[in-house]
Amino acid sequence: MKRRQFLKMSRGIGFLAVGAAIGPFVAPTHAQTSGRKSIRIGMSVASTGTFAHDSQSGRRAIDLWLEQVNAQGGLLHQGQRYPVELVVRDDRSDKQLAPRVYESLIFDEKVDLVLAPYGSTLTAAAATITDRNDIFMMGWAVAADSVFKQGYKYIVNGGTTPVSRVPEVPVQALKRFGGKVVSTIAVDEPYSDALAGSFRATAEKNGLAVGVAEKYSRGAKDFTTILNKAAAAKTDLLCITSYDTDMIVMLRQMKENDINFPAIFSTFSQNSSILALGNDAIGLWGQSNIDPRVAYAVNLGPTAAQYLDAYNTKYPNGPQSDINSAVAFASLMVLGAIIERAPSLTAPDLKAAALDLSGHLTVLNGTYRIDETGFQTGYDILVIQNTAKGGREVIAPAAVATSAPLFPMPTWDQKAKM
Amino acid sequence: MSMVMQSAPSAETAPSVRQRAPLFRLHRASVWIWCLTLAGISLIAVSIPAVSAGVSFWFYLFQWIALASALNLMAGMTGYVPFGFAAFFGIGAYAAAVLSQFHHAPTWAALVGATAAGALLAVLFAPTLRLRGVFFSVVSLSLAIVLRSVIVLLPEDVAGGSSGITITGRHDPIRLYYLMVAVSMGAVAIATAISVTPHGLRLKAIGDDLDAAQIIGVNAKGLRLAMWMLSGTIAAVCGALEGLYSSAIDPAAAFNILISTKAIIYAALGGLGTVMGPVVGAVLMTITDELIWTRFPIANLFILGLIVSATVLFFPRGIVGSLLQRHPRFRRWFF
Repeated sequence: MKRRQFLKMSRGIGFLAVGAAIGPFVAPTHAQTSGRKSIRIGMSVASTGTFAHDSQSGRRAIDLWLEQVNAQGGLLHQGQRYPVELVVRDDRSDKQLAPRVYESLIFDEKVDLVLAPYGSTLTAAAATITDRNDIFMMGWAVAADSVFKQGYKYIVNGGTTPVSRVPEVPVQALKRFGGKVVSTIAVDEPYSDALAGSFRATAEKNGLAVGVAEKYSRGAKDFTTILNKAAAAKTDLLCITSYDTDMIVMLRQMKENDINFPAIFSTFSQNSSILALGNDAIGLWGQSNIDPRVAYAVNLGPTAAQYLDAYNTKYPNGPQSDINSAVAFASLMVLGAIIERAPSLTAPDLKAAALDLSGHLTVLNGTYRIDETGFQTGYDILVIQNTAKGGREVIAPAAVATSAPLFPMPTWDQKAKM
Repeated sequence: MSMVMQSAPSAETAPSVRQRAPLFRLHRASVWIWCLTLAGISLIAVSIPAVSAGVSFWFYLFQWIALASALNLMAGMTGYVPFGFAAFFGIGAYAAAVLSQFHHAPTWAALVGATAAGALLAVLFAPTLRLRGVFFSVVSLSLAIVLRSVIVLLPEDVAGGSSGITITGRHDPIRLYYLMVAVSMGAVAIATAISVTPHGLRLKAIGDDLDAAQIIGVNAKGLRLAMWMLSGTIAAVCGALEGLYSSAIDPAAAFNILISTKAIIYAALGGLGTVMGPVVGAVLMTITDELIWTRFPIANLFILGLIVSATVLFFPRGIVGSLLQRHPRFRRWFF
């Protein structure tokens, strides 16, 4: 190829490449659309990666809410009903993709507001985009307190009990039952470690002692040393903030070594994998955000029992509603009320409406209450205890308890005879 | 300088390399065209925030150009493939986050700290350069995992522990974008400068046959260390900028093996060992990913996997590498 030909060809290819490459990716400045026909809500769901399962659990409940709202003609905003459109993108559980997803939702899809992705890390990454572009974000699975200390103006946690507040109910219950020492075992991952730290801080705040604070790397299989250390510290409540598979191994090793604790708390205590242990699962404390037997004085949307009925009707073949489904549904109920109350869908108006409604809405998992930063101060968790023959009872908070606790929980010998 | 820029055969080069040298001669105009292309890309990049409200796509595009080019300095030019490349990215992200969040350092100080951390880590990991091939790759990966564990086990008020760090002091994203463009173009400029000087040929000799290169007098140890440090430092700065941009750092994301994997895939798809290859690979794959991801919300990863597999099958040496292999005359223009 001659030099002149090559240069000519290169120039042509260059111009074409620049035009073709840039065109689709230059995002016009965001502008609120006039002549509204619907309310467009953007969100991301992980199709793969760490958050895929939990993210999709939330998505199912969000679809249920969407179906119910649109069945009644949509949301009443500015005196008129508008159908709700949900624009969903895949974030692949990738922190680097989350900002791009939310930019695309804002500039390409021109959504009016957004739901946060699953998890605090992705939410924080997405919030840098939404807040800078004055878009309101409703968080439904954002447990980390730190997200609300960033100075973001337009993010609100409408569904989840923050990680710093999860331990309040179980620790206060322990104190009420006469326990004195709290110990933690955590896998070295963000939520697990943060939850264990919150348990210790809450215990100290309530005048209880911290026995041991153990952390292990994922993949560890021998927990006998740390379990013995916890027992030697006279632990009354052992908090295992880890994976259900690790918890199963720990329970087996406790049984083999006859290590007993008056109470054991884990997020996974009511997982089918734990319940499959039969009598060995008796007495374990777990957490839930809803229980069909607990009916708060709901003034917005269905009670927990009604929600579960609707969910099971929509998804008769499963998967069952879980903690993520419930908080997603609750946050959408609150979001609907915020949209209906706000004079416009601009972020300042939505945030003002969110603050106005704080403390006035009780949904299926309790009373929605936020502070100025959007941090959730309302919803309390329910402490659920496994009982004999696969039963479960709510043992705290006391006001909604369905049964007195088994405290101390049965020893391994006693469980074997139950 | 004559019209033909040569990769300057020196007294250190072997006869075999000397015989091949004419194939690697670059037309001087090709270097100028490449430099003008980089200048054009920079100009376009600088104007993006003025015409587009969103810069995230561009920020990450330039990040991958920088990371693929930085990885190519090591993997492409010396033949050492560091699967633990993410360690540099992670240490940079953590250094910037710790300085910014716990010590309230301004952006520039956080970046200086990240650069120093990257260089220090490269020095600490330098003994692994004694290993070769898969052993080096595996050990570098292990060290990245060890580093991640160390970060996790440090006290929370030192490095945030397992929960990571959320950076509350907000940094201007547009300024961070400009910095990423500068780092990216800087990485490509460094690769270009190395490639058109005798060092490029020496590095190629190391990549082809380390023992032979040493026998003919190439300072393999020094060159490898220099490439290792350059590569690691650029990755650390990228990590710092990304951490400040997304404002959320945690061990899983900062030391994610996908950082290494994607940098290797992008560089390899473009053409490992070439200067243009990693840029072409990063640009094409990022754009392809973006187009697929927005149009196929569910099947996007599946389609992307098919495209990567097909590209590797049809262009086993990468796009630029395969082009040069099939049409050697283009070596005067593409490098």
